[in-house]
Amino acid sequence: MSKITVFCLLLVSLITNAQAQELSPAEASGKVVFNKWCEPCHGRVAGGVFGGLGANALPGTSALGVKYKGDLPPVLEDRLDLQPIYIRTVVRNGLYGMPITRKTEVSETDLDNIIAYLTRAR
Amino acid sequence: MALPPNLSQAEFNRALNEFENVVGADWVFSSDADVALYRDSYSPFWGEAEERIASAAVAPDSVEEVQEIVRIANRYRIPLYPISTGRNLTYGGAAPTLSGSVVLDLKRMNRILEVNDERNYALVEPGVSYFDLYNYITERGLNVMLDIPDPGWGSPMGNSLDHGVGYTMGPYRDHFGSHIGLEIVSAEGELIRTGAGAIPGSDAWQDFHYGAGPSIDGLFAQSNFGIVTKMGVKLMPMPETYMTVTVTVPRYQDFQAMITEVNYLEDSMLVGMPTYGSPVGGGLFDPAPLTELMQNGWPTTEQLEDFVSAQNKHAWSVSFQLYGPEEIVRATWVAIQRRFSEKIPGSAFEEDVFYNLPIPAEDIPALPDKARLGIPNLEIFHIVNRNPMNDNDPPDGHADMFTMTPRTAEGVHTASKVLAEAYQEFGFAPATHPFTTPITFYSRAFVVAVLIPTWRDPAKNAVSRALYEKCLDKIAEQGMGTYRTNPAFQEHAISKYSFNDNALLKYQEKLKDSIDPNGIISPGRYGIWPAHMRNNRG
Repeated sequence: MSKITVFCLLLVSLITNAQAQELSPAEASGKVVFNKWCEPCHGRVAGGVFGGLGANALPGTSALGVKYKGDLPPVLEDRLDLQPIYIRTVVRNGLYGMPITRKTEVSETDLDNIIAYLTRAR
Repeated sequence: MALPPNLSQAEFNRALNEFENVVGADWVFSSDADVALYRDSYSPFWGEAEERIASAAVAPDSVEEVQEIVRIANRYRIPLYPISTGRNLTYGGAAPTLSGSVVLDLKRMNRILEVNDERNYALVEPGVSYFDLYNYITERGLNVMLDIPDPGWGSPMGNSLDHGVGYTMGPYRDHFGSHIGLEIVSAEGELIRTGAGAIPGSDAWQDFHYGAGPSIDGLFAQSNFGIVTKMGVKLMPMPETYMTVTVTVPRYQDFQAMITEVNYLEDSMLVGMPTYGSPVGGGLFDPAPLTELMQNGWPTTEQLEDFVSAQNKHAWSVSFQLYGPEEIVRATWVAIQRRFSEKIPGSAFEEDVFYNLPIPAEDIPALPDKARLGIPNLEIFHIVNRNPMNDNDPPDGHADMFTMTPRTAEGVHTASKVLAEAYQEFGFAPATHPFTTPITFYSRAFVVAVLIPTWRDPAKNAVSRALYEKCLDKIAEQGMGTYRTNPAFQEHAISKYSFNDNALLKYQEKLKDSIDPNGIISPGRYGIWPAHMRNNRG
């Protein structure tokens, strides 16, 4: 295989990956809202140990890890099974310790965008 | 849909139209689905007739809009229930005290008007969260530290007005005590500024809180006398360093001597928040080790000393947060060790962490005690969320029962004993025990805390409510009360502050009748009812 062919294949691969990861405007907006309202509890980053609970994970991520026991990823952004109606229901009704989120906090447009971000094709 | 008291649907619809004319149709919420967003997620009455349900919500964007809404509410005699960020979870969330009230949702008023790191204050609107204020400060590299409660999505204003608390130096931990200047829309729609803010053109509103004459600021905390629309917040200059250190003392009976010494250090402003613990007794989250010891009633002092000796551990610990230049922090630590060694034989000492401040951003996520460094987060939710200790049946919420005790060993032990008795009367394992330690949210009082779970299950909630009220009764028999509670328990809690035939509440209701003649601001909040609703009591 010539060097030019290798270069072209590499270039195609990079472009394909970039396209796969590029977010639509709604998804990009959804990520911003997710980072503000969801990430402090459901994010990927390590959390501090609190009272010996939830070592090395944020509370929502830790709780989902305990709940699903490896059957589903504990980090919401890694989930491929989330349905729009489920996300909308949990945000607006709360679930266990997660409280209700009002429209003055996360508007319907913001929520649509969060849903677009979490359910995007990957 | 719930309706405001004594108002027909047609009249209410006209009022809603008037609200829409002020804030726009997008910011008046009256459909059942929208009003449901103002339920208390942790309500002890979830799904029952007594659950507090709003009739609607209106969300203004400016002080002028708040004034207009108040005038409309007066014309229709519609109760308004102002909320800041609406995240006062365990204390009612966004739900009103009186069903049928219109929630005045101030979340859109989220402007940070000033942060001054030369005179060390902030001036904020109600909808600003601790996250917002922290981001504002860090993005600009301002040289101040916040004192924050646990959940970062709360409002500095709302938290202060509900007597919320934090984790750094004593004067800053009392959030209402560290406010500096209020702007208030009165119950009749007038705009008032307190302290130096009452002088037109003053530049000292956030420097001088008294002004001249009687100070009225305290009337607007945990009350229903007006709507606060701006508040100054005293900020601590960013310390150069932060160090935590721990002292342990060997014997059960050393506790009072330890407390006396901690009170000396705290009241001398030498240390930040003291955190008490017990190496033999676990902490707030792990009361189990002492269950066996308590099987035959409250142990004797001799039994407790034997229990400590058998474990070959010290009985009590206290950790201090030290803030300031490194030379001073380290010298303070030397003085702490000297004073404890002189007063309590066998005291032991350990240096825990030392940080230069501010903490680099990349080091923040893994910090164990972000709140003590003024860094907003949500990690407190580990306690009530599903976790390895409650995997099978995590609660849906909790009702915090904080007993305020004097700063004495006897006060802590007495509260712990009667709270344990309350739990045992309901067949629960006691949540407090002889080694329960106090929390020092307030620098001049102790808190003995229990968290009673709440559920979206009426049968379980009935038990939780009965337990909560039993705890209130038991501590009141010892001359103790709580400082803050869910609307479901506010009347019960206030009924304990009954000195001289409830003279305090009677005085508050005289003020209510004068300040808010139509009774439109948060009727019933903390047991204060307007004259025409006083038969609602109980």
